Amino acid sequence: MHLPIRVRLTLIFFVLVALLLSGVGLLLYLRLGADLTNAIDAGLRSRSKTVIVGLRAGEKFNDKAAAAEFDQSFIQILRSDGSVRDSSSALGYEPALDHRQVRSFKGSLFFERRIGRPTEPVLARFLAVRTPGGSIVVVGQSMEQRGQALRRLLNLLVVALPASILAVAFVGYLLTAAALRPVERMREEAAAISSTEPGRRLSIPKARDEVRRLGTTLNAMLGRLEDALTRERRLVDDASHELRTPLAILRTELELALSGGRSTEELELALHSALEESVHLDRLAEDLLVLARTEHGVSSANPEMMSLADTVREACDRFALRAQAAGVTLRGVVDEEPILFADPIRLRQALDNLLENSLRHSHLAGEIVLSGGHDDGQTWLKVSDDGDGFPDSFLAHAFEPFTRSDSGRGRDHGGAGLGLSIVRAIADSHRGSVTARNLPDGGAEVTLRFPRHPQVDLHRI
Amino acid sequence: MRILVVEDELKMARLLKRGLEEAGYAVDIASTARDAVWLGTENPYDAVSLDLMLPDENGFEVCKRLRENGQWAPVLMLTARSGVTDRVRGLDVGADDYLTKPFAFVEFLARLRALMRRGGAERPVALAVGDLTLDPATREVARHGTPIELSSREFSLLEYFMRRAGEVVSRAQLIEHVWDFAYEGDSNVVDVYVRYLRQKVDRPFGKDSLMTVRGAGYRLRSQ
Repeated sequence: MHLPIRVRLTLIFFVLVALLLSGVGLLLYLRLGADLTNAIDAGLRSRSKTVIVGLRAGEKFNDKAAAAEFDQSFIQILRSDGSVRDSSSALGYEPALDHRQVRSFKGSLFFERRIGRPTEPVLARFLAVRTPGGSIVVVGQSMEQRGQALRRLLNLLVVALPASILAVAFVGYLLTAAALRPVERMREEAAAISSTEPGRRLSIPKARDEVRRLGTTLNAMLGRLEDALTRERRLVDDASHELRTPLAILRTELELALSGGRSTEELELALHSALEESVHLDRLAEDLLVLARTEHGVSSANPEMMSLADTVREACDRFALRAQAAGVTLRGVVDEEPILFADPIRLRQALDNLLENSLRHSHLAGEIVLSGGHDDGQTWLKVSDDGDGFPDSFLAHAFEPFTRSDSGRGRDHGGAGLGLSIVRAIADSHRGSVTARNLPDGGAEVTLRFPRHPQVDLHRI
Repeated sequence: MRILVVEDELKMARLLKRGLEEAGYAVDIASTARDAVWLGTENPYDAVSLDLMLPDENGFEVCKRLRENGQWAPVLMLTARSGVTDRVRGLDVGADDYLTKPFAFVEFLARLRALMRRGGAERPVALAVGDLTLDPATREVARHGTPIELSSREFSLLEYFMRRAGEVVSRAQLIEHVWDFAYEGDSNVVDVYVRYLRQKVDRPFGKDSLMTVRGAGYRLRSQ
């Protein structure tokens, strides 16, 4: 059904009320009919007794009959063969009982038949009682009053029932509308919230009801969206700042070189510097792209079974030469032969970023350890070094984009501050986690954890 | 002419120094906010080129501190952020101009020249006459540190008086500067507003700084 909830509720309400009230009306009608019949029967019984007692006492029949006719009751006395001995005039001299009835009934018999003129017959109820003397006393009572009472009730019901059903349904409609009004108000408020004012919230009704809960929930959702929007804006802001700095250097360098009277040597230096900046820009653009792809799931992660030992060995091989050149020992440690379930390309990027960081902050004759293993249903990979460690102020924001451990820009030392945020995005896309801490004896340690079983979030990849 | 370049990005700082020196300026470089405040306070620079992103504190702080230390050399902010709020904040804490990175070097030079023409005269962000202060940026008025609430017309009137502290200001002058060109009411309105101003600025503090000069106008006592 595609009807509005208000109409639907009203319809359901209407049908239920109609069924209920019609049922009550029907019951009332049947009950009244039965009660009236019972009253007539009781009257007939007592009258038949009176007549029988009167007959025994030898009372004259006519007085009784005349008195009875006032309240539309009738008396007939039949002989044992069924022929009429005495009768109220309204019944005429037709026996009220036919032969078959006379023969078959024992004791007493209730029956109904039409009497009076054929043009306006009257339905009457009779009681026939056999007296000990063998004659049959038949007393009757018109059912016209009963019929009238029932007709009056029916008339009343026919008018009152639909009217009250409609009235109740209308009240139901108004109630539904009133109940839904706060929802509608909330809808209007929500419709007015745009991305230009993400700080706006729905006003919460005071009553502790469903609408309040709905509003609170929606506000919480708006809060999360606002946070995401703020993060996104800051990222764009930071990214533009990061792009502008090398661009400014590039431009100033080239403008100064072009300002005339430069020697070949000076021009060569300027070109080298410009090249350096363009390489930096290239790397920045690449990092931003990787981050955006991993975070927003543009390119898909292809998790597969990998040997943890091979992963660690290959990563160590990639950095062996650079570690040697920097005078740093690089060791790979894997205790067992576990299996890892991850996207090889992304995992490689994450490990490279971590090893790059460690190498950058290591001292001469330092040591970097890349280890891997299993615990609590998770596979972990750990990169630890004995270098500078993270500044305390940096640890809390280590995985946010454009934060660097060396205060200020420190651009000369390496990245744009995206390395760790890329690592986190990669961990997130595997439903894993990444944590960073300083080792008690100095040096930094970053731990990547992946679920041991393939649980890659299909929505994120 | 001597210029202080505050820039933490070493390469950029060297480039600016080279370019400025080729244009005939003497250049010092500061790469942290602390160095910048120290150098700027100790030496009489003719202009300061100030990057907003510094490792220890931001450029706004540097600018504010320099002004607090009585240094009025013109400040040209350099920012890699293009947000309006940054520029507004910078100008309101006392910077004189801004330039967004990346910029054309010739424009950088031209702006510095323009700033140096104006010179390093004292031009505080907030006005102060005696113990009465008024900040046009935040629209805050205070007497001896106690905030005073003024309507916008009263604020304009007080700002005009404070910019001409000690001078006699005529009613016609006030009508021209505080009310707009189209105002044609009688000059009684000035008396009414001056009375309002006295009730808020002078009376609660037992002062009598806004004086009536018979036949000429009003004067805000400079002491």
